[in-house]
Amino acid sequence: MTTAETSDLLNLRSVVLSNLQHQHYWTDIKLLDTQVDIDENTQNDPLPRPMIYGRPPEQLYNPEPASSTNEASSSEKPPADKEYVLPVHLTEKLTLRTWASVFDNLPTPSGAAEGGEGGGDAKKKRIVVAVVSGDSTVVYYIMHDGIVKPRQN
Amino acid sequence: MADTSANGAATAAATAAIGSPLNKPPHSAKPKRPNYNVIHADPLPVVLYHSPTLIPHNPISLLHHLYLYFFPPVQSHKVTYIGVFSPVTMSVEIRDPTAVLDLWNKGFWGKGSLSRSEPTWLNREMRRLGDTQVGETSEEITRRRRDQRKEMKKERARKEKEELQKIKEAEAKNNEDTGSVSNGKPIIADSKVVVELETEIKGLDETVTEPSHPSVPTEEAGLPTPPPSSDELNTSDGESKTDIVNIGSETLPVSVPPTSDSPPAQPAKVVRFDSNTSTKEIPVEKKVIVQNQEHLQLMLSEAFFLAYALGVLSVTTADSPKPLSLPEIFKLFLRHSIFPPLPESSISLTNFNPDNSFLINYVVYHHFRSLGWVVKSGVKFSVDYLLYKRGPVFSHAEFAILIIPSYSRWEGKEENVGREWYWLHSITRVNSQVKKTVVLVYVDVPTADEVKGWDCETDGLKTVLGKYRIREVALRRWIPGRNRE
Repeated sequence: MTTAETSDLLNLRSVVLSNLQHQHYWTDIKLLDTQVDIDENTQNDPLPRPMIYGRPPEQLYNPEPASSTNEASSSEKPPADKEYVLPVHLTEKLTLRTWASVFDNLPTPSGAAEGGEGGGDAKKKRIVVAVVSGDSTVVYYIMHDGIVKPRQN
Repeated sequence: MADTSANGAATAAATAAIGSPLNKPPHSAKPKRPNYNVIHADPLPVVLYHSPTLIPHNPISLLHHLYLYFFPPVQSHKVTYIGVFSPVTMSVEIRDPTAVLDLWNKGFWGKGSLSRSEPTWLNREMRRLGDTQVGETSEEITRRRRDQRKEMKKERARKEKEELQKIKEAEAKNNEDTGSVSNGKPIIADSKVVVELETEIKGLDETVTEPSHPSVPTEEAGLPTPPPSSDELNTSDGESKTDIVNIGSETLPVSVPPTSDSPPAQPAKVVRFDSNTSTKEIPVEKKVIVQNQEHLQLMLSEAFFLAYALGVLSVTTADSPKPLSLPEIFKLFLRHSIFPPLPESSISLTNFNPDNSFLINYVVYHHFRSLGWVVKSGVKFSVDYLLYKRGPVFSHAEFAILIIPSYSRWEGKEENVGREWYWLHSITRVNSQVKKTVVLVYVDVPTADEVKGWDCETDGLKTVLGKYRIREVALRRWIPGRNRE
């Protein structure tokens, strides 16, 4: 079993980047590298793998039912939250240690903007896992660092 | 929805009328469904040479055959497509537009790297930027359907909340009225409201779940939904009433609360499904030029089948335009069968590991392609391959292929590591939801000794592939209560 070289991981990320930009129209995309710390203010270690930080065109997942935010959204829509994307390959074997170190080194989301009862879930770290497969399909999964309230329907 | 489509049709008709004011009846403005039988008439991207029938008493026919006898055609078809192996995507990429179109039309090879199936990114992008000359893509149709569904769910959530509010109000009122005595009455009243609410929610639920039962939207996960629904969405007449139309027509009445006793303060919030169609009044005849960011991407198995079995694809690398030889391609693909790719030194062509996942996948791919199936990746359904009868535009995939390597000829190699009943059960559940039959394909993997030294022989690869054995087992969940007959 060989370990993934940085160049392989960067290749993988470029596939996901192109997919996010051109197929799903993400904006404000920032590339997070393993060398650089993502936030100067935190004491996080560098990320174990290169990642992508960007804004989807619409809010990806909101555990709160849509109706609670419904009233305001009819007039003006707040921009969707930015998400952390972790590119992985379908044939790759990942360990729990990898997942854990990814979560450990992500900054804690502020989450205060949502406020209210959902504060517990909003503070949970979450990533979007982008699974790249050989036929160019990228399958996305949302992964939380712990249990969150399931979305209503 | 009826008014929606009428609206859409009217808009389309209006634009058409401006474009060519002469003799264009409104219904001809609807996008015509392409004739897939013509577009995809060839099942394979090869041109076969047909020898004419021999008519013995016709001298011309005789001459023709004599000519063919002395000067036989060297090859019935020639290498026509050039693919570039990309280490970034670990696959073979085709960028030449005619080759892309050809490979897609003749056998549905590959996938648009930025599309769900057929490469449509350029069209989508042009439409997004306001081009009016390109037709709607299947992705956009699916997107619209999903938006409608989302709206409907929002509406449902809102209604639920309102009903809850009503119950609470009634409760509060009852408590005020009756004070602390006789708890029986308010409970009855409440339960009535609850029942009402339940039936209403149930009705809503049906409208949500119903479209997933009939044929079309089952492939929700976004695999090739056949584009045919494109025109159906715009038809206002009942001749081709699809589920999509049904969603709209059934939800609209719901959005207007049927219960007359609802508080008048409630805003009559009618969801406008036609918002996206009616805003399409784009200035006519706009042409946008976009650089295509998309390529046709061939899975390793597809590329190898085209190069080896059909001989119509030559594979190059970005470094040199010189086509790779078959053993070179073979080695390259063996190396890139997993992520991270295996180092160059770890694979020797004379002594490779027959358990390599490229080989196992290719054997299965070759098997089903040779039997005439269109084989596509099954990653969205948690299986290895999907089998289409003629192609994704004609029908949904009927079979989901799960590859299980079997090491009966190996010594002391454990089989099915980490595959438990939970795993199988979740896969059958996912696939029965989309009406696919799961087929377990066992591949008997030869031992390393059996495939040693294959390249000494002229037809070595054939010998190697011949050592693999395939067994298929179709799987169906049996539910004692339901499958009684």
